[in-house]
Amino acid sequence: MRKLFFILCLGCCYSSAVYCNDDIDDVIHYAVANKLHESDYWRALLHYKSVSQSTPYSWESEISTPAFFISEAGKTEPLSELLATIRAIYSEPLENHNAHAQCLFVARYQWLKKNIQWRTKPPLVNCKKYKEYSSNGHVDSVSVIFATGFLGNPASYYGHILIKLNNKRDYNASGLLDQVMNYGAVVPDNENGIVYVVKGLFGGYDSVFSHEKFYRNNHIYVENELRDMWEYKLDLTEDEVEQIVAHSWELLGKHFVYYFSRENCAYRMGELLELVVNEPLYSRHAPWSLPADVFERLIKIKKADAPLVKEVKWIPSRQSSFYRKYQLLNEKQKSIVGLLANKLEFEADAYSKATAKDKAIAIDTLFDYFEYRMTLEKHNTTLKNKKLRLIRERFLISEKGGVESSQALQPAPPHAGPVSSMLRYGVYTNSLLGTGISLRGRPAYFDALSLDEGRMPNSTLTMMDIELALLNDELTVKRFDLVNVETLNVSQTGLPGDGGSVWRMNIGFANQNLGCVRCEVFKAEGGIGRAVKLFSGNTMLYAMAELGAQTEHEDSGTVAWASHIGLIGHLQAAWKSRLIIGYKEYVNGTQTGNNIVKWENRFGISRNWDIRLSYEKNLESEFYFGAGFYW
Amino acid sequence: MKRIKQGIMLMSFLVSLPATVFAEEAKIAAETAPASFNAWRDCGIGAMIFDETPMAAIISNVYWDSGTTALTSAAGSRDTCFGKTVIAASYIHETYSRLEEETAKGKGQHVAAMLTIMGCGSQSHADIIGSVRNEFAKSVNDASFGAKTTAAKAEVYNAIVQNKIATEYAAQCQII
Repeated sequence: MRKLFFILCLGCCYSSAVYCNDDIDDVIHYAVANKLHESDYWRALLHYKSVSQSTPYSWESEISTPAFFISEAGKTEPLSELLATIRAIYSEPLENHNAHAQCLFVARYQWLKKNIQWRTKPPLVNCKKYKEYSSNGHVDSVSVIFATGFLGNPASYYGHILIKLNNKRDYNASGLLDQVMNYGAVVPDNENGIVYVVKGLFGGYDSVFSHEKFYRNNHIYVENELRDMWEYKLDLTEDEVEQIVAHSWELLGKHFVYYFSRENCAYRMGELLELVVNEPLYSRHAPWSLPADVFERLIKIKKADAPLVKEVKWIPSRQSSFYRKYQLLNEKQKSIVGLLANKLEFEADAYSKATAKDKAIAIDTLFDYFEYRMTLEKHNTTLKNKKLRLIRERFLISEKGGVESSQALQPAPPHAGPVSSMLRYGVYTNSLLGTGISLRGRPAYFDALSLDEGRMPNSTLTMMDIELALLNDELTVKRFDLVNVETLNVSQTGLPGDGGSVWRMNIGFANQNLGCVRCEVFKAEGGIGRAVKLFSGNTMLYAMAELGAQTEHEDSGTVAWASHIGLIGHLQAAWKSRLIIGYKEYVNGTQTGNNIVKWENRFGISRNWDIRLSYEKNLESEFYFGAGFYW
Repeated sequence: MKRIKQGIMLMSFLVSLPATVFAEEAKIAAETAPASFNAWRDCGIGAMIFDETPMAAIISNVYWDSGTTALTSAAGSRDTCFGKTVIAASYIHETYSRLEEETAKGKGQHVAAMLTIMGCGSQSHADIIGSVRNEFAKSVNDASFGAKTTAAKAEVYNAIVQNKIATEYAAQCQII
C-alpha cells in the first residue's frame, strides 16, 4: 500500500505542475488514512461488486466502459481509482473544460468535497455541458416512473422504470420537458426473436443509461403502446436531488451487461436511487428483479416519519384516458359520443341541438377514442378521416378543453395490486390417485383470480410457475409454466372497436391429465376469442378457440385443438370465481377427445395471503384447497 | 426500419444537444440560419417516424449515443440543426396528434410545453394559442389537408407557429 501511495503521488507531481505540492499529498494521505475507498458510497458510485467472499478487497465494477475509470486499474481497484480521481480533479483544465474530471465525474467530485478537507482548492472548471444537462440547477425533485406492462414484447411484460428529474414547475408546468433517465439493453435492429430471448436471459447484450425529454416517453408508452404510467414523486432534500442528477450524468452512455431476469432496469434504477435511499430497493438474494418490487419497497420507506413517496400521479394511456372521460360523461353526453362514434352525423338533433359545452366534452372524449382505435387498427384509414372531421368540428366550438385531465376516477396504483412473488401450500384429493400435498410457487406475477387493483382485471401473467406434489410418498412436478399469459380485454363502453378480444399463450409442461402421475408432456398452446361484460364491475363471459402442440403420451397425439367458455367475476368482495367448461381433441393420435371442467375460487382481499379452492375434471376429478402467501 | 433508425439517431442527437430550454447560456444557432432554413428538409425531421416502436427501442428505448453521433448528410449539419427552432420542430413532429387536438380545444399541456420550448412566457400562451388556432383552422379546413401525411401536417403547423411568433409575439418569445 505504501508503495502504491508513493507511485501515485509521483504521478501527481508529473501530471500537474501547479497543484503538485504538499497540499495534494495531504489530500491523498487523508483519503487513504480515512479509507474513503472502502466507503459504501464510493463503491456505489463506481458500481463495485464483491467478486470474492473470502477476500474482502476483491472488487470489480459492473461497468464495462473503460472511459468510466480514470485509473487503468480502476475497474478492480477502488483505491487506485480514488487516488486517480483526486489527481484528475486537481489537474489543470485543458481548452475543453467539459472533458475535465470535475465535469465528467460530478458525483465523485461532490462526494469528495464533502469528505475531504481541502487546504488548496482544485482549479475552477466550467462544466457547461453538465450545467445544461442539469438545467442549470433547476431540477428540484426526482420522480420514479412505472410504465405498466406491455404485452407486445415479453421483455416488457413486467413493466419498466424511468427516473424523472423534475424541473421547477415555474419553467415547465406539465413536466413534459423534464429530463428522464432510462436504462435498457442495446438490441440490434431486426434481431431474431429466439436469439433475443436467449441473449437477454444469459447476458448477451450490453445495456446503457440514456436520457431524453419526458414527452418522448409519454409518446412511446401512452400513445404508441397504450400503457399507463405512474409517477412516484420522492421527498428528497436538495442535496439528495443533486446526488441523483450528478450520478445519472456520470452513468450516461456507460455500458453494463444486461440480464433480463436480474440486472435489468429495476436493478440499475434501484442502485441509482439507493445512493440517497438508505434501504435496499431490490432483493439482494432473489435471482430476479421486478420493477413493481421497487415501487413496493419505495412506498413503504419512511424518512423522518414521513413517507419517502410524497405523491403518486396517474398518467393514463389513451385507452385509459378515454375510459375515464367516458365514465365522467352524463347520459346526454354519452348519447352524443355513441352517435358520433358510430357515424359522424353532426346534423343529427342529438348533436346539433346540444350545448357548446356538451359538444366540446363529447368531441374531446372522442379524440381519445379514435386515437386509441388508430393505435390498434393501424391500417384503418377511415378512423384517421373521422378524427380529422372531428378536429374540424372542434374548431367551430369556442368552448375550451372539455374534460380536464384531473385525477378523477384514478384507478388503484400498482403498489395496491398483487404482490409479485407467491408460495402456496395445499392439499388435493384425486378421484383415482388419492390425497396428496401440493406446494406451488412463482416469482411473478398474477393470475386471473389475483386482486384486480393495479393491473388489467381478470388477466394472467405468470412466469416460472411450478407446482410440486407429494402423493403416496412420491414427489413429482405436477406442472411447470415457463410463461403463461392470458388477457381478457372486455369492452368498457360498448362502442365499436372497444375491446372484446381475448387471447392466451402458455409454454411449459404438465401431467397429461388428472388420471396419471409422472406423465408430463411439454406443451405450447395459444388461443383467441371474444369476451363480453356481464352486469356491472369486471364480471365477464368469454369464449376461446385454442390450438396446441405437445410431446406424445401413450399415443395421445401431438397436435390438439380445444375450445372453452369461461365466466369470471366477483361473487362477493372477498370471493372471486372462475368457471371454465371446455373440450379438447387431438388432430392425430388415437385418444378420443374429452371434456374439461374447472372451477376456481379465491377468498380474501389481502395483498399478502389468500385462500384457493378449486374443482377440476379432466378424465378424473380433483378437489384442491390451498393457502397462498405473497411477498 | 432504416428511417426509424435515422429518426432515432437524430433524436439522440437532439436530446444530447447541449442546448436545453433552460440553458441561459445557450446559443441559438437558428437565429443566424438563412431565411430559407427548413428544419424538416434541412435536418431530416420529416424522415423521423415515431408511429411505431422498433423491437430494440421497446426494450432499450432510445439508445443514448453520448453526443458523438455524426448526423447523416440527409439529416443536416450540426451547425444548422441546432437550437430551439429545431428542438421545437422536432417536438411538433413527434407530438403532432396531441397538438392538433389541443389547438382545436384552445388549450393543453402539449401546446404549453411547445411554447415553453420556444421561450414564450406562460402569460402569453393563451394569446398565442388563440392566434395559432385561428390560422391553423384555415389549413385544417382546406380540402387537401386530409391527404397530407402526419409529417406534412406537422410541417404546416410548425410553419404557422413559427410565423406567428416571428411576426406577432417576438417580444414575448425568445426563439426568433
